[in-house]
Amino acid sequence: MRPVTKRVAVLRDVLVVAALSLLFLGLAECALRAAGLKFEGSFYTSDPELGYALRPNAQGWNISENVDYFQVNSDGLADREHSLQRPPGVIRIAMVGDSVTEAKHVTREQAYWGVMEQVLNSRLAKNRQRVEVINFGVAGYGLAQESIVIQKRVWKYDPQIIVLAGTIESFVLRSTRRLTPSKACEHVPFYVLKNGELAPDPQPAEQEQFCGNEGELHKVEGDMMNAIRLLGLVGEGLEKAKEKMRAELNNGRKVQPVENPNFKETDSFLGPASPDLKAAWDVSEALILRSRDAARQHHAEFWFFTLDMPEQVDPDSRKRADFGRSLGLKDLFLTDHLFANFAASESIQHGTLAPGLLAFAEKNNAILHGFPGLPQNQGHWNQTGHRVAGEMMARQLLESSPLLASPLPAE
Amino acid sequence: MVFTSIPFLAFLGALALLYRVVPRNWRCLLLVAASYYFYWLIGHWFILLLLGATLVTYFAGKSKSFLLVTVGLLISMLVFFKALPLFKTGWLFPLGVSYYSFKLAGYLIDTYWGEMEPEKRLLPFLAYSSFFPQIVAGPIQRPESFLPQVERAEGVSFYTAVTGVIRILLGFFKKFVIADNLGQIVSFVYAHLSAHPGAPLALAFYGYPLQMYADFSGLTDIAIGAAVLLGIESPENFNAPFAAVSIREYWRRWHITLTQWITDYVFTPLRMSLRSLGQPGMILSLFVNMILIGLWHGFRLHFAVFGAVHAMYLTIEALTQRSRNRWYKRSPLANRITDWMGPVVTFHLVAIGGVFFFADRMATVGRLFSHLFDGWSALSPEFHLIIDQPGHSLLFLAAAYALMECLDFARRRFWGKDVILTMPRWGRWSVYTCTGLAFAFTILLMLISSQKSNPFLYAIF
Repeated sequence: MRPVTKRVAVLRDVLVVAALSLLFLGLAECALRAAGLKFEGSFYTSDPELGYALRPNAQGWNISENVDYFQVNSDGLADREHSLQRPPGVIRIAMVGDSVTEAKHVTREQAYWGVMEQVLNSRLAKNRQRVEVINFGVAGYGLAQESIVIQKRVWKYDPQIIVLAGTIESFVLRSTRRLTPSKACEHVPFYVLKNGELAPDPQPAEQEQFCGNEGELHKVEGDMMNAIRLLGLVGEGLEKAKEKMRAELNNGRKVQPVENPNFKETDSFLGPASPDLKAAWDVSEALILRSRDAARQHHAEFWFFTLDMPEQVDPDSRKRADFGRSLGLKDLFLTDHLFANFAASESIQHGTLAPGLLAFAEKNNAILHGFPGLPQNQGHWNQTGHRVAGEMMARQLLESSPLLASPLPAE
Repeated sequence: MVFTSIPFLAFLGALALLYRVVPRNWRCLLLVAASYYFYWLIGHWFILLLLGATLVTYFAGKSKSFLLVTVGLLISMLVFFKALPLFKTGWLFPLGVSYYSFKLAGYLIDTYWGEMEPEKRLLPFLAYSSFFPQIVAGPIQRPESFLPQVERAEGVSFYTAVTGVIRILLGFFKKFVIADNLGQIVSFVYAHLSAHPGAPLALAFYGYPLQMYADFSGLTDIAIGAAVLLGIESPENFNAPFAAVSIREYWRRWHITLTQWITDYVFTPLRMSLRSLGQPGMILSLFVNMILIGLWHGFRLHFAVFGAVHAMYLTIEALTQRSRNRWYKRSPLANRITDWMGPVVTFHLVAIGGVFFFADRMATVGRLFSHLFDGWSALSPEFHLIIDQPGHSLLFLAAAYALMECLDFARRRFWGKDVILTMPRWGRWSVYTCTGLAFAFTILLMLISSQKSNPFLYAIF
């Protein structure tokens, strides 16, 4: 037998160490899975028009608010797969909105549009009609992005009804760059009104920021982080380390990396009460009209729904009153009413869910927002919130949509 | 600065590096400075109490006439701080006083008995009483074991340091994976005792001793590992306590340094002085000994009852020892069965004692024992919320506990100070790589942990 040279011996040892280290990593991965540790998945990618969008085929755990496995389909929709060709006898509804519509915290069947689809199908079965809802919702989208989705993204699925749904916060504050919550990404489109016309509002040069490299490498990295818990741990750990360092640099004050000092969520309750809000309202209305016009061009019905804010549907009347007092407001539905008036004046089919949801919450002492283990009535809709909202929307569509209207059995 | 924080690890790492590079005759000073800095961070002005007690002990040790008076002073100081909450709430408790006062009192008694010479140099003595890895929760190291090491101030080799890091990681595993997860379940059940049927109560009953063991032995592992990084070998505090076949053996394996201290300085002298009383003298010594152990945790009735319960176990064991031995001699089968059943019975006895230890009201004890066998179904949604959380699955916790016992067994059996040196090169490199990876993952887990780790159970005594 030939004697093993020193170099070969070192190489052999390195290989053994590498193998044992891999085994160790495998065991660590198994331990994380056995412990049930989950990390927030990576679901988004850059989009040249929208700033960002859901990454096709991304799947992983959503752990914010509620733990749920979230899957994006091959076309980048938070939904199951849909054929491009509309099947015969099927009425397609395109749902456009923000995180409430994306519904990462619940399953497809529990999402309000999933509930709406079930109710509509059960009611329309006798007419041999079938409804197929396609979800275009993406978390954080404002009206500018939603109007682009309606103009350019939904039509390849040939929908006959477009539903634009969102909270008053997303419809008012996320319409302008000045009031939007985050300045995370310079590619997110915004508009301003110039001479009554919508014009792009580019990111000021001093706010130019890197929006994250969204090339193929990023997609692979995101998919790997979703699949391998250890990588999820590394990603989240490094993120937290950065956050802590940032907080240290800000004298211990926890700050969002790119928070907008002009953003104040409660402003959305006030209507056009200040010049900034007035400007945001004007842009919002123009974007809603642009969306309506896009639907008209494709001979589709256009519906505009305002959803709710947690403070509006708190079953505790004292808390609602306190909240209203803190804003100097008598009517927590002021913004909803203003949107309803606007929709009526522009002949837009419109639904306001908040008052009905409050009636349900009060009657049943139900909490519609928030999940177990977290503060009550905060955050997104829970399963009950989605269910009640889905049923309300289905009822309104059945009552008023020319395509769907059919006599309803007595409730 | 708690042991399970990133600042502590950074502090320890920097100190270990500094300890390695400074000249040997500076190392003791470095240890004292670091220990007092650490104590200042956790105890603030109580640092003066530590310094005062140490100086008084050091000078009293040089003159036999002051020795016993100073022991009395140290014990009075301990009693004062333990009893203070009975009279006034809201007072801060000087952290570590239970440990350093025993260390100092032990030194004086040993000197008085002539077991050791009074320490000549002040600096090593200051290091002895304040040594920061041991000040929070022991182990209570004897001066004859500590002082020569700190005076030699040997450097720490890389492979020895790695064994220290591995020991710290083992402590983190015990604390974060087992103790904290079990602790959340146990605390939840005890906090809503009347709302639970039998199954959660049984879970709390069996879970608490396991939680306490994982928590306390984890803390000890971190202390021992940290001491290794600073060139100090510490005594062990645990030796598989739940493998004990009897309560007497259990106390030889649980919190060994405290039991040993009280046995040497309280039980044995008391037993000797009461020898003429025969069995009643032995029973009295046992009760005094065990109630003192109970009260060492705090001047609360439930701690005294905990001690009395264990004294009762030990008394029964001692009184039946002869007849049991005769029986075992006649029936080897019974002897073998006892060997197998002993740990199970002992664990149950310890768990019963644990209920008295945990529950500060006798009504809680009554409620737990009277409803232990109530319906084992219909768990509340709130309880599901707790046990459905990551890391709370019973299967996972059982597997983690088994792994902990295996790791501890391997450590006791095969893991010596120089074990890494005896390995082939690929073995050494693998140990270094995997330790580095495990350390990195631990830091990452500490970073993402949304809630702060619960305080160590024994760091508050």
